[in-house]
Amino acid sequence: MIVYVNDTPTKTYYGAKVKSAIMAYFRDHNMSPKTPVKEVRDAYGNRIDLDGSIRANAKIYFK
Amino acid sequence: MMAFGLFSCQPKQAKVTKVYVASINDMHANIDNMPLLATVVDSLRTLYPDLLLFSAGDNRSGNPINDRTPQPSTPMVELMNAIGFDLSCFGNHEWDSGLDALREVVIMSEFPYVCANVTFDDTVGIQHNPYVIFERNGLKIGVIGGIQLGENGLPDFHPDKAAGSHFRPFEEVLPEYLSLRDECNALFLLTHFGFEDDVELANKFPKIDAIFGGHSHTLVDSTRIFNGVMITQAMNKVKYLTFSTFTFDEKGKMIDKKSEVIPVAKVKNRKPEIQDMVDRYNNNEVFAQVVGYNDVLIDDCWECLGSLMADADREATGADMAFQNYGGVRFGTLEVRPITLKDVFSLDPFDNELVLINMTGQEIIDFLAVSLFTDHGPNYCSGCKYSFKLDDEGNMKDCEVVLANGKPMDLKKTYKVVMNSYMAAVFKFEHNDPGTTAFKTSNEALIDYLAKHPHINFSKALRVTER
Repeated sequence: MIVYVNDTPTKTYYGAKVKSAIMAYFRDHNMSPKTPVKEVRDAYGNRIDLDGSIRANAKIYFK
Repeated sequence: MMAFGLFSCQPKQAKVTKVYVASINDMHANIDNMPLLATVVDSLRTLYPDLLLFSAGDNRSGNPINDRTPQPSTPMVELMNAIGFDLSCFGNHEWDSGLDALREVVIMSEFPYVCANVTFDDTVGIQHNPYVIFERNGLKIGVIGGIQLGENGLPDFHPDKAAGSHFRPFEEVLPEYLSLRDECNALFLLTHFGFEDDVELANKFPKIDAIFGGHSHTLVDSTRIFNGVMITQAMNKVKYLTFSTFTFDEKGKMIDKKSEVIPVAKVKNRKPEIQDMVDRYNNNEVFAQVVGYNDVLIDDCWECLGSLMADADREATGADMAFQNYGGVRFGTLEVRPITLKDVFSLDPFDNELVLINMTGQEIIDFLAVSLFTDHGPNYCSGCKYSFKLDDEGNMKDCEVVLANGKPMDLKKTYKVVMNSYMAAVFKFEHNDPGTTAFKTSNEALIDYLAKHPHINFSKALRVTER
């Protein structure tokens, strides 16, 4: 499925958690999977945990 | 005189009634924070004796001390009983130990479970309600439960867990219960859908007053109202608790609603009685539980144990082939002795979910080459053997995969491959099928494998060769 990580379409598997989507973003940007993630928010500005479930086309933002 | 004048000019105070709800979700058996939660709940109940305490599901899964007791989830249920929960809905993880275990959880719980979009076969014997109605200060509060369904029409769990449970889309079911709004002063949903789905529900069903949600592990840290419906969620693992206040006029009509979160994890005081219970659970012998026996010494053979893990993943999912990454095997020696739960979680401590991907033979070859580069070592495997050469720069070339039946892998044929979610997310390989979670972690797969094959001999399970 596609999710949008920092507004970038990112391919991940169905049923992925937030963490897997961000790691897929790291993969696509040749970043280390150990890159620190300080905070993740959803499209509504809520903080979300790395273990949270996401659905297709979800928008998440990390810094 | 002036004082009298001021007094007489004050408007008559309208009589209002308030209902207080504390809600939490996705506790995932983080029992260590339960004494903190108990302190917060006790403080709130001192101020608001009629407080309602709800859980929006996934009370379990995430801590073997809870999940692997002989009667799974006994610690969490006992703690929730002691803290005084009034209600819970089902989360997808409530099914993780099967329906017999869930039935025992419901029987042990001193609070009801609500879920309007699941029914169980009579033989299963699980008693739950689509909704409950509480009475507080003369007001009737209706609460309807619901659980998310994925594209396969099931909650996010392994389909094998579904037997005996029957699910319907919540949006189909909910209209059957909306008349409750007319007989109650407030109508709430207690859901395990995720925040974005809750927003969609709010937009379609404005008769609902509030949704206490879970599943997406979202922190809704202030009052959020969509289409007139307040939505709350308190992240996960007992880090926060949402405290909501609903105000009603003298006719019982709701005139205000608001919510705030309380950071449970930052509370200093632990309720001693609950801490004693947690200490007792943590001191038990769960991790010493024997789950299998190693019959032949595995002596500094990481591949042997990687092959064991891959076999477990393949058996758990029915895949044609399984691959286990080099860095995901955490020790290489296992003496001839009983294998304990501690051994399993030491060998595989990551709780990565298994992911099934349909891949062509060529995609598998490319995947193996990328894995070698990314993980600094070759993948271990099941359902096949493979050999390869290295070029001058250390890259894999001339990889040849032989299937379990002895035939070479067909580069054009599509195979069902299982790997862990770390590999699926991190390794940069081409694959048309994005893959689907198997709703099972790799360490769970290993425990299940050992239950079926209690005596193992993997001392010579060498399947990867550099030519």
